[in-house]
Amino acid sequence: MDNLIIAGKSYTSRLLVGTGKYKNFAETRAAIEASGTQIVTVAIRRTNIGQNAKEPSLLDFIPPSRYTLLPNTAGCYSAEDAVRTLRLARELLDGHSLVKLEVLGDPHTLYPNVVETLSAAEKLVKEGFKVMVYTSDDPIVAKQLEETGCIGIMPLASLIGSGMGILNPYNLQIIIENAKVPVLVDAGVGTASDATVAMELGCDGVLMNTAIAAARDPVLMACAMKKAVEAGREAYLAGRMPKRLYSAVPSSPTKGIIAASGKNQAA
Amino acid sequence: MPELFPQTPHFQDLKSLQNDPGVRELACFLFTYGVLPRDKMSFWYSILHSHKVIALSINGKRQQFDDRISIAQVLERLELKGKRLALERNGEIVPRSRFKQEMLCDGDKLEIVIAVGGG
Repeated sequence: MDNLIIAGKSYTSRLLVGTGKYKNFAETRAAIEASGTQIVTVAIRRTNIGQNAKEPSLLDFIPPSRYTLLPNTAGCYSAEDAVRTLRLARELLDGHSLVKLEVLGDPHTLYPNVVETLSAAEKLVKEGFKVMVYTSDDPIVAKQLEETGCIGIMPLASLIGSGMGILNPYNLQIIIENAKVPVLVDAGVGTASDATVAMELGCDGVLMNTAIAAARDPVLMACAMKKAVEAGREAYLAGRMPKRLYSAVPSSPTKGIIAASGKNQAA
Repeated sequence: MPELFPQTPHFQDLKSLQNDPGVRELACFLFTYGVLPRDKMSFWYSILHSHKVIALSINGKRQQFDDRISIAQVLERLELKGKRLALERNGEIVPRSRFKQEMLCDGDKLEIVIAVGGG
């Protein structure tokens, strides 16, 4: 079975989805369900003090019993903050240690700070976390993160929330070639074809949030993304035909063509 | 007065001991970790009970509570009882199993977090 294996668990869906930026919890749930995803990311934030006790929370709609949760370190700009956030996440989720590490370098572009990311990854792996790490598409950094002990490498296609798609497929290919752990594109996916291209390059999965949440019809886009990831994976496994500048071999037979009428005859 | 205090006027007066933040913090520590010798119990109890109200910082906001309040009681007061959350006290995570026993002290900083939507 062509399943995605992460931290020893097998998943049929290779699409991972974020839970941010939706209109409300109902839309979040509808989109997550339509996407067919089994792994969703969540953020860790201060609770509102003085909030009505009866107000629902995200996990009422996206229960940990049904989905594998991936707490992230969004908003962290230092290794120290990222580690602290994930320790809290582990406590929050009763010892669940599969996490998404992201350490940002700049609030304007949200580009990752790979130096702090490496430092955080080292500390987290030592503390027994199973780290899926968001990083740039630098192949050397990706390899170093893998060597530190991260169980999944997640290079960006383009900037978070930019929807620009895969800007450097060549780097991505190099990362995939060199990696012995799953490689998932995370950030920058904008539409279905971006996800398909990622899978065709050989990615093990795709993580996206804005591409679905900011679509005009998020639930429909989630459906599209589900198919896109499946299509890309099958195309990859099928082994594509080579690209050529031209091919004198058409798809139809060259024998038995009826006699030409006069104009534009072949030589 | 317990012998561990120096023989100076400040430390011989119960009132000044009760108002000394260092001594109160020590009392809190001793009760939290249960390391009180039985014969000194009433003295340290009086230190802990002398303050009627404690001020806590909860998620950055200052709030006042009765003395001798546990983390569990604070969460109940804030309508957070039974909610899935994680808590840091003065930078250290307090496991859920300790919420009922851990008594808070004046000046404690709490961070209470939950899972929210994010990518």
